[in-house]
Amino acid sequence: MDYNKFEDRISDWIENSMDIKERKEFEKYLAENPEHKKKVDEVRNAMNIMKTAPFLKASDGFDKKLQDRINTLNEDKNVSSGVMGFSRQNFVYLTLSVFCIFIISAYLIQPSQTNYFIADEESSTQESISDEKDTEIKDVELLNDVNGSFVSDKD
Amino acid sequence: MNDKFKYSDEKLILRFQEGDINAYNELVKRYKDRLLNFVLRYFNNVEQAEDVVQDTLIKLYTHASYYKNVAKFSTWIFTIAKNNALTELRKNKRKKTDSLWTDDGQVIDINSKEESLDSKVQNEIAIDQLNKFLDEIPENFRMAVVLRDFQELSYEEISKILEIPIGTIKSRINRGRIQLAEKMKHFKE
Repeated sequence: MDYNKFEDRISDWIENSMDIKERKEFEKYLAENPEHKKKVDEVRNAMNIMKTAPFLKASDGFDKKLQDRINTLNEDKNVSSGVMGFSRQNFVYLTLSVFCIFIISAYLIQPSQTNYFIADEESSTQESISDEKDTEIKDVELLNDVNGSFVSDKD
Repeated sequence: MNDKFKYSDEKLILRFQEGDINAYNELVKRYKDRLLNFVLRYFNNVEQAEDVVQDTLIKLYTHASYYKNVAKFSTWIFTIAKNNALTELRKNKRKKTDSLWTDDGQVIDINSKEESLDSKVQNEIAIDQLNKFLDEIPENFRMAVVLRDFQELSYEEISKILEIPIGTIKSRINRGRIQLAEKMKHFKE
């Protein structure tokens, strides 16, 4: 192991994240170069200082400021949510669009409805014709019956 | 929610996603200082760092549904904080180049306010020195060291937050620690 490799492995050795072979190699280097042990101690010391260093605390007004921002956010949300989850402006646009679609649909449907009525009229005419035919047939049958009765009277 | 302290961060964010505002408040309580100490390494300005932490916590409030329970919550929130900090830094760079001089040609002392804020907050000389030493090492080393030794995150988490391979993270942390140790040694002497 050379010095550069030794330096690269200092953290791994302190954090005990080396396999046994590497660890032995590292410790052998340290035993052979005791002057470098100081380097390991310095790094370990720096790590300890950082780990024990107190956290800087957020200022006293931090929570209030955050809460105010959240409140503003919620107010904005309420204003923008308006009616049924839409902003008022969007709701007006949506209502107008639906109304327009309704009017256009009604206009487009109208001609086909007229055809429907015409068809109805045609079918009712045909029905009246067939009714007339039925009446004619019944009249003929009645005449036949009358004629029959005349024949029987003659007999 | 008296037993909220039992909950993991992941459980709390899930509860918040279901509408429990107390869960959000508990997350804020747990993370505001941690995030502040992390973000501060980008700015060295408490006021600005607090603003970035506020933005991060607001994002947590508005985008909680974006969190999926596949990653650790800490990884997710630190990533948001890092991205917010970098965005703010980019804005700062633009502002600084725009406003180094006043209209009548006077040079603006950008650092004066930062120094007064720093000295007000950092009472202990040792901590003050540690922060100064941290600021002196390259930023890519500094952020990795801060996440590991101040925030005590795993290498895997740091790798995800900084979007750098684990091998590189390990190397940067080791190099950062060595540089920091070197500076501390001179300070002691």
